[in-house]
Amino acid sequence: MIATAPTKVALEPVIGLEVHAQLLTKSKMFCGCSTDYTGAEPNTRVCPVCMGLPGTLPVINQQAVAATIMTALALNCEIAEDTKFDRKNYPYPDLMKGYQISQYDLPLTRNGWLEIEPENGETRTIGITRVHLEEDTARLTHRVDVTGETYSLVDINRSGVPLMEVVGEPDLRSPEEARLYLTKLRSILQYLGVSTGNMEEGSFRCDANISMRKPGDPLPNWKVEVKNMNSFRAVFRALEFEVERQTDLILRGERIPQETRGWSEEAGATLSQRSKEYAQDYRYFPEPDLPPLVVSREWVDKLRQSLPELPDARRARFMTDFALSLYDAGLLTASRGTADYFEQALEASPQAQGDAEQARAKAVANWIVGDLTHLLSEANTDIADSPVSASALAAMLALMDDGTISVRMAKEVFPDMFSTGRSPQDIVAEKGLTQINDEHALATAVQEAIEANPKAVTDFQKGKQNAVGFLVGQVMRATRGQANPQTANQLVVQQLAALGASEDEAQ
Amino acid sequence: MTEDNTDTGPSGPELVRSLAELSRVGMTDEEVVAFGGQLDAIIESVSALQEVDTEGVEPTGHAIDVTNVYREDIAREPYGRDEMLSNAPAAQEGYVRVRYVFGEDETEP
Repeated sequence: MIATAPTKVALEPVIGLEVHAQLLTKSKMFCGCSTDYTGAEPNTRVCPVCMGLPGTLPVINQQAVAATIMTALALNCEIAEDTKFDRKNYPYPDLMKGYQISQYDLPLTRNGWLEIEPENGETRTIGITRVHLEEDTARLTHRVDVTGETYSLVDINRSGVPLMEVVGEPDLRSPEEARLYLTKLRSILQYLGVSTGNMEEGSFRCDANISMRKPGDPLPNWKVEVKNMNSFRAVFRALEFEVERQTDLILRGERIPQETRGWSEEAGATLSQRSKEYAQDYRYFPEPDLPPLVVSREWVDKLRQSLPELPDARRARFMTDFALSLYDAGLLTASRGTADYFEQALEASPQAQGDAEQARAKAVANWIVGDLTHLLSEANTDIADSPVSASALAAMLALMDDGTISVRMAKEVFPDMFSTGRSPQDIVAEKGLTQINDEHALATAVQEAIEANPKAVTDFQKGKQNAVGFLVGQVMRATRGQANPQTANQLVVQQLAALGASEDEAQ
Repeated sequence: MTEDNTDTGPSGPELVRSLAELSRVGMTDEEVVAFGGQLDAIIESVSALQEVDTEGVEPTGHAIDVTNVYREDIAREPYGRDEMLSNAPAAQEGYVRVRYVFGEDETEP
């Protein structure tokens, strides 16, 4: 225990994360009740099995096991040949049976890793202790009645939903690394399609273990468990708070008690949670209601072959195939939905090769990470539900490519497409936005601009080149932005030159 | 299965008291003493099993020699809520109502 005199040596945090993710199965872990309980009336997704009634028998959902194996393979884990479920006993009204069916000493998978890439740092490999399977608990709501007595209301809809636990090694060395690890893990789960990864809705939850040590020292023999973090930001802030709190205590020569603390958003602090000591006595034993599992290597191979392209591989391919920067490719592949959207938009575009293809990829990428991401975040909408489809974005880019609209017009058309869901062609036609490329059509506007601004003409003749820009601006204004700027520029230069020549002739 | 199952903790009345607390069963001091003695006797009797030589015997995961019993991931029609709540000691607004137990989970207004 740390009780030595204050030290000047910087301390480093030792952080390990435990993540629980609800699996996206249709039915619960051990019974056929629907897992689709969001917005459902309480206790309308329940049956005798998930209510824990006597005489019922659980039966393992094979899809949940498959999803866990796929996740473990993506996290480079070993898949056990022999595995089983165990009873974790604890008395709390969120457990209908008085125990949770979980996995103890023979988890489905173990010993994996994932890579994180801190900014301005080297790639770091973070160990995964194990990925195992268990069941979610019921949801409690605490109330107080008129006499002042507190009671709890139990909604069993969530009870028995397949829950996958990913236990990480204490390899993380900063709150930022913890954030990167969580982001990466969630991205992998989303790519695999095994979990929504939604932290705010509670389908993706994170608890953290954290302690401090001098760099190079062995792992401390104590740790503080932090719970109740309901967003990525909360995890980051709670860990930053703990680093500061623990460092202060250690520097003052105080001992840090091993305890569970809860993050309070309001207080911006972690608070000690009173917990009863005996609560840790889970009395695990093998679940007698479930026969053990023997996981065949054939099944594991089949699942391995079914793995989709994962975020890191996709990012590398985007960089190679489309010459995108690490930054752009990273943004596009952080979520599977965004990466899919990007590729769909490219597929919907006319064929292009070489430089033209790369230029188009860059343009599509810019619109997605720029305007689209901005509008989606303002509307709090996922890209999967984007009002502008990938093919609509491609259609708009095609209108830019063939000169129908300018970049400036596109910036006006795109938000309209987003808010109305209409095609770019319709919006362009309705607004009369078509770019004027025709030289004859523009010649009059150019002539008018020149006649109305004799000073600019004189300036030009004195050699002031920015007079051209001024006149092009007048043409753009007169045509309400519809003139093709390049064509307008050419015409202004031509007419000014012609003017100069005719004046020369007259003299 | 694991070393954790070998009980090296408290025995007799002390064990009964801890188990009663874990399982939320109220017990008088007299009962704790009485059951404590009985529990000690039961454990001593069962301890005879410890003398069996299990050298070279594979651990048994399950009493019946069966593995890989799965169900397909199909959601079926739910049971009726009223029927499901009919077994609950108390219900309110479609929820099961229970006495408050201090815990770490969400508290809602």
